[in-house]
Amino acid sequence: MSFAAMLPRAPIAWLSSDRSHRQREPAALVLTATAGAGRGQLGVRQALLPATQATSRTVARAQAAALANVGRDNRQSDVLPLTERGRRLVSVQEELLDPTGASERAVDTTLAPRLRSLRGLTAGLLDNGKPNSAALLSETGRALRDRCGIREFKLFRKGYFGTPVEESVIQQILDSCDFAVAAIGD
Amino acid sequence: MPAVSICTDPFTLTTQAMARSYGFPGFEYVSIPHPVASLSVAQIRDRVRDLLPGLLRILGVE
Repeated sequence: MSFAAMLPRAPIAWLSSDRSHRQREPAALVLTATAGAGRGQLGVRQALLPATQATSRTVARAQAAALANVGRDNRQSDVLPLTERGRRLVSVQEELLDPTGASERAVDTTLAPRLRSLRGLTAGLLDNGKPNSAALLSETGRALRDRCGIREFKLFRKGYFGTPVEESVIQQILDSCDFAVAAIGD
Repeated sequence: MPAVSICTDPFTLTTQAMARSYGFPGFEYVSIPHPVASLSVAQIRDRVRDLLPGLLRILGVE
C-alpha cells in the first residue's frame, strides 16, 4: 500500500523537518493541519521551533493551535502569542493538496473529446524518468505507428518523476502533438 | 488533448485518488503488471502488445 493511501482522511496533521529557517537551526518543527481534504483546501502551516524544544507538550500545543485556525476566511500570516523562551510560532494559511483524494469537490471538469482514429496523428509520449519508461513508450510509439498509422511520435521527459511535469513541456506537447501517453507509474 | 496514463497494478489506488483530487473521478488509465523497471526488451514488447487494446479503447479508437 502506498504512503498516500495510508494517510488519514481528515483532519490531517503531520510533522516534518524544515531546514529552510534563516537562523539555520539544527532542525525545526513544522506542523501542518487541515480540517478538510482535496485540492485547494485551506490548511495551516506552523513553524518554527528548534528541535531541542520540540517536546511533546509544545507539539501538542502547536497542533491544537493549528487545528483551531483551520477554516479562517483570510489567508493572512499570523504571529501567534505563543512563545517558548522568547520564540514565536508563525501561522500561515496556504493551499494544500490532499493526496488521498478524499474530496470530490472539483467535479466540474470534462475530458477532451475522444479520437475515433489515430491515422496521420502525432503522439506525444511523456517519459517520467522511471527505469524502462522511455523504452516502454518508444515501443508503444512504434506499435501505434505500425498498427494504427500514426504519422510520428515524439518523446518528452519530465525533469523528475516525483514532481508535476513542467508547464513548458506541456506546452510543447500541446503545440506539436494530437494526443498524449504518459508513463510510467511503477 | 486526449491523454492516457500507464501505471502498474500496485499504483491503482494512488492513481484513482489523484484523479479524484483533480476532478476526474472516472478518469481511465492503463494498468499493467508490476514491475516494468527490470524487464528485458522482449518483455517490454510483450507488455506493449498487451496494453495496446486498453490504450486504444481509452482514446476512443474504434
